[in-house]
Amino acid sequence: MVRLLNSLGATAIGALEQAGRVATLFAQAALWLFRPPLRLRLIFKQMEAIGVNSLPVVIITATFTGGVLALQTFAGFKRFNAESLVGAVVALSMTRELGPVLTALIVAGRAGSAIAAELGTMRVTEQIDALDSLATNPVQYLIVPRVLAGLIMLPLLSLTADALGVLGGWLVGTKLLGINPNLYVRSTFDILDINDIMSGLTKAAFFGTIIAHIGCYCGFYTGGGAEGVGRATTRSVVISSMAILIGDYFLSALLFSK
Amino acid sequence: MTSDASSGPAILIEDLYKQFEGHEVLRGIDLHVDHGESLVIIGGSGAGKSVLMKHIIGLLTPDRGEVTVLGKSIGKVKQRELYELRKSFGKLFQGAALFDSLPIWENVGFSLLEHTRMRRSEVRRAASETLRQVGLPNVEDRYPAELSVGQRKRVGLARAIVNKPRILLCDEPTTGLDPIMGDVIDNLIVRMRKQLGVTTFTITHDMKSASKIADRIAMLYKGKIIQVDTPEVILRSENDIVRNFVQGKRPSAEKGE
Repeated sequence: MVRLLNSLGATAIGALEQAGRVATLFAQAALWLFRPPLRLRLIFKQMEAIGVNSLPVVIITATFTGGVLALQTFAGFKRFNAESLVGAVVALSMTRELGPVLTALIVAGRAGSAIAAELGTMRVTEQIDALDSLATNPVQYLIVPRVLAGLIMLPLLSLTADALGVLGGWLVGTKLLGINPNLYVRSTFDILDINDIMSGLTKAAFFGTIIAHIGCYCGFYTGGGAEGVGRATTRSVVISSMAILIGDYFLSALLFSK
Repeated sequence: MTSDASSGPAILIEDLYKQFEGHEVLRGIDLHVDHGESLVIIGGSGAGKSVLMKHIIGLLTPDRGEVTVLGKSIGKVKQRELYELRKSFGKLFQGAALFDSLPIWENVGFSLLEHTRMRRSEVRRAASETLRQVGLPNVEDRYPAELSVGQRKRVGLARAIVNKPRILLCDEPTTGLDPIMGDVIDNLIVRMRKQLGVTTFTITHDMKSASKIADRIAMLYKGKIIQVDTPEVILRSENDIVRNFVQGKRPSAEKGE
């Protein structure tokens, strides 16, 4: 019993310690963001890696998610003759919840892990020390562009996902299930509010920052050679996925409380 | 010995202690390197050579004691000043530590791109010139992964000297190279010293390399400097530990470890 409590306590302290280090590194990045130079070349390169390269997966995921949402809600709503509301349900689910969250989970698996692997490799091959030795701050050179790129690209990806999810729902709803197209479109835009979209995008911006920063954190503090790089990569996906899902709840509670 | 900025040595290490998680790595190092001098630290693996070098460039700070470089006390200067000071350094890393994501010429010209107002075309020209000096023409647009280990090391050396540093740090310059390529690197270091008059601080366990590039050799053993002298004297040292190391024998005192 004592041993169990001991190990629980140690785990809790470890988690807190880690949270502290994540926060400290983030504070450093925030500080270095405002010191010149702002390396646009690096920021664009990261925007490509995080955003553009994730686009195909996001497109496929969002379209099919919209489609399956239409399929499932139709099956349920049909029972009380509310088929006309399918469009509204798809649009609200996509913009408020599934667009940002699914996009974030995909990017965490694709780009967040790649960031952790790249920075981890740079750490174990002394490239990060080399940056420091060449009088360039590694936090500013490596972390700032990645976090900025995540902050900028996730809302854009998420917006794409929203649109394609609605399109996927429309395709399935009208072409496959035979809902009246006019009715579908009207029910979508009657209920959907600009605030639904904006709050979803706000969440996406948070997620983008979290994914890029967690990836950087795991890579930056890698130790133990190639094995360590593998561990850092896995860790980045696990930590950022959990952070996204837990953060999503609290952000939703905050943003949609009114 | 004075600690005055203008007349003091290029590097001055006084009573330096460093421990990691209770394990004492450096236990009272006293050492100096004069301007233009080449000092080589020899010692076995785990003797603390790399840790000592990291203190000189401020990647680590002392637990106790002081490291003074070009009149500035590392560990006491502000971060901004430390970065300023590092611009006077060149460092050749053991594994070269080239940036995988950048082509060779941007690797070599990194400090010029970052810290000067030179245009990219000018930096490229300077990088090409330095690459020629280390015997690597026509690799500007290739990436580190496309080069051999020996070539990468020479690119690393080019990166370290492109901004004409006052202090050149070399971490195991010949490790992992065949003897011929090792000799090429040694010759390059000697030639760079002659041409640039740079102060050189090298760590190695390659005695052939050490006696070739050193004005003085210091033996680091279990976190302490046990002898500092010219290569001739070190090679004929009276000290058992130094003699064993120089001759490549396993010291009898270490049997229990």
